[in-house]
Amino acid sequence: MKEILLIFRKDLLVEWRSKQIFPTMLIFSLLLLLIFNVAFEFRSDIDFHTISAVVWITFIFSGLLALGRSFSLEKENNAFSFLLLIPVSRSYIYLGKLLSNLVMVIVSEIFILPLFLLFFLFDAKGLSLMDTILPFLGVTVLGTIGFVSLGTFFSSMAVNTKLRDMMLPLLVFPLIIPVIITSVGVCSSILEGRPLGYYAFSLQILVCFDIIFVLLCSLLFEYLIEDSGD
Amino acid sequence: MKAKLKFIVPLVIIAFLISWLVFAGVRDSMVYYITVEELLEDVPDVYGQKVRVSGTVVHGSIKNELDESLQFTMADGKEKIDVEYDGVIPDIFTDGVEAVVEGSISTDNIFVADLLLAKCPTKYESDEARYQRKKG
Amino acid sequence: MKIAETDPFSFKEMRKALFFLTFALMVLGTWMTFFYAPTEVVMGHVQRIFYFHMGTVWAATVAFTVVFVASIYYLVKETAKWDTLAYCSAEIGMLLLTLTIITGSIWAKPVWGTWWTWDPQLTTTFILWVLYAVYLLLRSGAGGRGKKARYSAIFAIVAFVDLPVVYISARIKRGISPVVFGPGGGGIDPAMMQTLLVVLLGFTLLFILLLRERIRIMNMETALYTRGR
Repeated sequence: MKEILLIFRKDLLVEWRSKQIFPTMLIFSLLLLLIFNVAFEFRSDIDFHTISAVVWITFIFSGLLALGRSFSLEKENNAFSFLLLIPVSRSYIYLGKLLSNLVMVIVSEIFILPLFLLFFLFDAKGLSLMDTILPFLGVTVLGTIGFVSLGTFFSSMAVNTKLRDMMLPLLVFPLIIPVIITSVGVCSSILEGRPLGYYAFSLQILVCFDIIFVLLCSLLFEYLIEDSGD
Repeated sequence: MKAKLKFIVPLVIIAFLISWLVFAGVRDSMVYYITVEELLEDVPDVYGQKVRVSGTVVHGSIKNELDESLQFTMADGKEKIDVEYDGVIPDIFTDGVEAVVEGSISTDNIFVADLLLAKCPTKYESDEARYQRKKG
Repeated sequence: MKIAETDPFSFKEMRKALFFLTFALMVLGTWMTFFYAPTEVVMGHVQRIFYFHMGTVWAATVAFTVVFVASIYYLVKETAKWDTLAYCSAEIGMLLLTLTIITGSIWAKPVWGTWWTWDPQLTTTFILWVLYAVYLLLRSGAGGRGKKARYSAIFAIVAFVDLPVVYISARIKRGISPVVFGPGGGGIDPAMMQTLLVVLLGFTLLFILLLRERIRIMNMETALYTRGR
């Protein structure tokens, strides 16, 4: 347990001092927001499902930036072989990395989400911002756990392939489709102002996905990393 | 022993969750199409919205003249709706076939379809078998 | 000639027998498809593509199950034999699934009235296709043999576990694809069923034949490569 928190703390400390990933993610998300608005010709009659889809595409694209960096950082100065020296099961390293990535991605989402809803729901469409934004954030956290768990796992694989960062979206995108379908569905129901009972089942499914992915990845992580650290 | 348990417990949980997902309930979170009844229930709100609706083609309702668009009535149980369509018609589209239409409903309660799909029958039978069945 | 004999599975006689049996069954299946099976009453002759469609999708399912099992064995045992099996099976499965999608499209155009629609069954098949395309891509871009084998095995396992999850998220009660078999299905004419069974058996044997031949070629390649060093 202690080791997980140590890795988690180390990663956040590195980010706190270097301030590399977080600002990049924020600016990137803002750029995407701008591009989507331009592409939609600043229309204000975009339906809720499209808004949810756009928000999730932004989360996943900017999230992948952080995930790709997570293990390539360890490649520098061969830091990863020192991580492997920690006398614990490999899955602890995975869980530590997962936690730090989660915090980074979720914090950036918290920053970006209000802006998004503000820009896209400019005329508010009769929605109260507080009523939608809190449940929306809850779903975002659940969906993010699903895609960051797979993303962290395959990030450690992708940095070791010849194609490097190019490989990461290819590996992750097809696998996270269930998470995207479910999250976008729930988010648009929230924006439509549906009651909890309407999407409760989808939430259960989402929690199931999260548990399955985290367990499976931490199990397989033992096999993913060889002793040579290649 | 402990190492083995660390392996088996997560596997059991994963297997359990997946089978729960498969068996316990697959409810419609994302609906591919709605029925005619569901469409008419939503009526004032649904005007102008793009939807996919499915129903059975009512016998004798198909009107297909050369210079006009295809018109037919679609029903499911009690509710029915008139459909207007201009485009490619699937080969198996006739009376009694289950059809799926994509489009929107206009304020005079006529469904204007952009796309017409026919569902293929779930029962595959030969000419002879049907003849025997009809006779018997 | 010595190279061919390094293949531990290869028995000359069995290979010949398998080849002729597969050939006979495929010919019989094709004949039954066109002459024995009755014409379907609603869809007409187009429905005959059903047998080929089912044959390829069945063999593709077998292929991807083989990939999954072989990948688990590889991770546990770490012998190259299992990796070869997984890779060859994935390649053939990919070919078969591509044929499934193409025949499905050809069938859907006249019957449903469209080449493609995002029905849950079609969506899941499409995602399955993409997953194994990525699997093959990962192999070509991974690097050394050991790493390639390990990474692709891990990806295959995650992908296989992901599949039911994809299906659940994409599935809704009502699709456009027919449910012919099982509870809620419509049933099928007995002569059609017989034809289908022969075709399925033919495709199963064809898959085994192709798999064995592909493994043989792979082993030859490896033998040549190691000798060249």
